[in-house]
Amino acid sequence: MHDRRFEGRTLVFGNQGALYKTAMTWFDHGTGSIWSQPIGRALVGELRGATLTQIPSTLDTWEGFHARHPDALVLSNGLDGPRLILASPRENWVIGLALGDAAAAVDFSHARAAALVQLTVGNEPVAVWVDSTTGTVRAYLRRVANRLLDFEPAGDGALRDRETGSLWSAAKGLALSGPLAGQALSPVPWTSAFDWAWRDFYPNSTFIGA
Amino acid sequence: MALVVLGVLALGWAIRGSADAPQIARPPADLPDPHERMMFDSAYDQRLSRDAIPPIYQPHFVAAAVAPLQPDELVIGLVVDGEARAYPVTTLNRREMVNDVVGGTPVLVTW
Repeated sequence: MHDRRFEGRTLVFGNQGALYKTAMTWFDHGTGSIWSQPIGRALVGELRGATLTQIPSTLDTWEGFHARHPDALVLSNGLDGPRLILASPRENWVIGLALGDAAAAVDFSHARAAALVQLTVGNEPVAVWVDSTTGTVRAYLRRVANRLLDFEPAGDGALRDRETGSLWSAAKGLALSGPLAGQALSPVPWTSAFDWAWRDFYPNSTFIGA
Repeated sequence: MALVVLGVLALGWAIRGSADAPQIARPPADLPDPHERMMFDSAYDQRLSRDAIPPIYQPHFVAAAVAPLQPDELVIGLVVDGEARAYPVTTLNRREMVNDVVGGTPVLVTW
């Protein structure tokens, strides 16, 4: 997910209908420049080289998201009429993380089976949590108030950090009890991608669980 | 996700044959460096015309309390400046892109 603003203008994006390195491309209606989705960058056209700021997002079941955000608005285009509901992401699907010059990809099925994957992307310590029953995905920075945290699954959607023993809600990224109660983890932007596409864009990426 | 939808649509067109093949826009030839142009061309694969998979330019919303979603269906969630949005993955599979404004920030949601 990206912020559509670039140097004072707000861009409107369409679907370019092309693949670049086997991944989706967009065009912006103002200049017709062609953008690559996994990197959020214009490849050709007037805005060539421009990069959009990525915005953290979550993947949740509706039940889970609704419980946390009862005031949410729900996109309703296409909600009337028959719908084929896909309950799970696909095979070869990775949770892609790009921070600075470094990149890492965590295999979704692996993360779902493990519940928690801790890794370092460049110099940044990251935790990826996937709810094994719902497929909910979270990615957080494992650093709070200059303290590096090492988590372990504590059951029932909870994580425990080994440094202080505080108990955290994995879905909210909030410490619920213990010495760090009330502290929040910073979400890390991540991208859903097929593993081969991620490898094309980030040839130096590490792959976990692939 | 986008790749699969694109693939299915491209297959559909291929089966229909070339007689009514859509006019496909080529990218603007504005890479002055021949090597860069070659690198771009080798990685670029135009499958459909622009917006053949129609993005959502004018999103509509319903309140969470009355949204007709199944409890176990997946949504992409965004929270910007305290404003929360849910985008059903089922919709994103068909439309792939949403131009929206959340919490005063213009956002692009893609899948």
